[in-house]
Amino acid sequence: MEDGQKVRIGGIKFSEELVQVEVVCQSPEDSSIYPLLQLIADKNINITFLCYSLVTQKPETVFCVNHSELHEIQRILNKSSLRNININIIPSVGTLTFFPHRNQFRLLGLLTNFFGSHKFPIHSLSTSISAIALNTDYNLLDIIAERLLNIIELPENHAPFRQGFRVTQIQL
Amino acid sequence: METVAVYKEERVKVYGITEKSDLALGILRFPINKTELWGLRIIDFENSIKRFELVTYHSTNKNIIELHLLYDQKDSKSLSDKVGKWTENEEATDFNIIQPVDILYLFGPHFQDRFGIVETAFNAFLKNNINILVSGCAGTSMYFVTSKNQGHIGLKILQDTFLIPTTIMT
Repeated sequence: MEDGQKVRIGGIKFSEELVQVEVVCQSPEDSSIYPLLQLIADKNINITFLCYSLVTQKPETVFCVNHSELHEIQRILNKSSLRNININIIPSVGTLTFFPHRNQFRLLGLLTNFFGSHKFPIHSLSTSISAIALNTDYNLLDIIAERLLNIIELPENHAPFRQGFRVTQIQL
Repeated sequence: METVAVYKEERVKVYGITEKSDLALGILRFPINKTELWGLRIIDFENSIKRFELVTYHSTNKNIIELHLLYDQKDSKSLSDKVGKWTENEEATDFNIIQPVDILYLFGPHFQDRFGIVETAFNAFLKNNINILVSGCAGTSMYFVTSKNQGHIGLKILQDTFLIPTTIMT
């Protein structure tokens, strides 16, 4: 963005409406997140995003599932075996995916600066092999994308932000 | 319109897996109201670090952003000196480095669209006493940071857990 130049990227993608769950365990030895992930898999619920860290005294996990799974996730989290963990649910989250990042800090820093200056929330973020996946409020996705076009340049023939199809796994 | 494709796999198929060692894990915490400033500083990281392997961050309930940054250990001093100057007089801000660490990452197909993939990896590590320090799973990728030498053991566990055609070790 130096000299008013926009940063060129390949594309932006919106997710469907998601739920973000933050789970904080009470000690480094507390491995509650593992049975929790098992319970979620047993209910055939797909985790679209996950960040985990065991670098403090309280291991933290943030994950997202489709919004349609909110009630099932709440039922799972209410199980007695998981009562020792602190849970925070953000019920309407959307993932913005930006690509490619080329393992450089420019796009990452630019996005961080943009979200901070506009007071848009960054609930969580993870890079993948080629993209940056950033979770923010679902109802802000369109306005964020519109304002981002002031600092980001997309190819003329870029794909639509919203995917026109959905891939769903069915257990046979 | 709906299209259904059916296939069966005994083990979850993966396109490839990579193991890297001699990396550093930087852990940066700063107040959410300093996000704009830290965005500019993150751009400046490029003058100290050639490339990142993984970045994750999340907001904590104390209005703090915790950022995890994985990069080549050779760049540690340069980054530490730079960030140390920024953080020394700032409230609720700190930067720590854990090194050396290893990383494992595997990708696709359709990890983000299928259930049980993350759980399969996490529980394989748990059963074999591999501690994951940081993980970031988004899109078709899953990254796992371990302490030094646990990465190679973790690689073998993932190779036994997933069907993996390609392995890269650096």
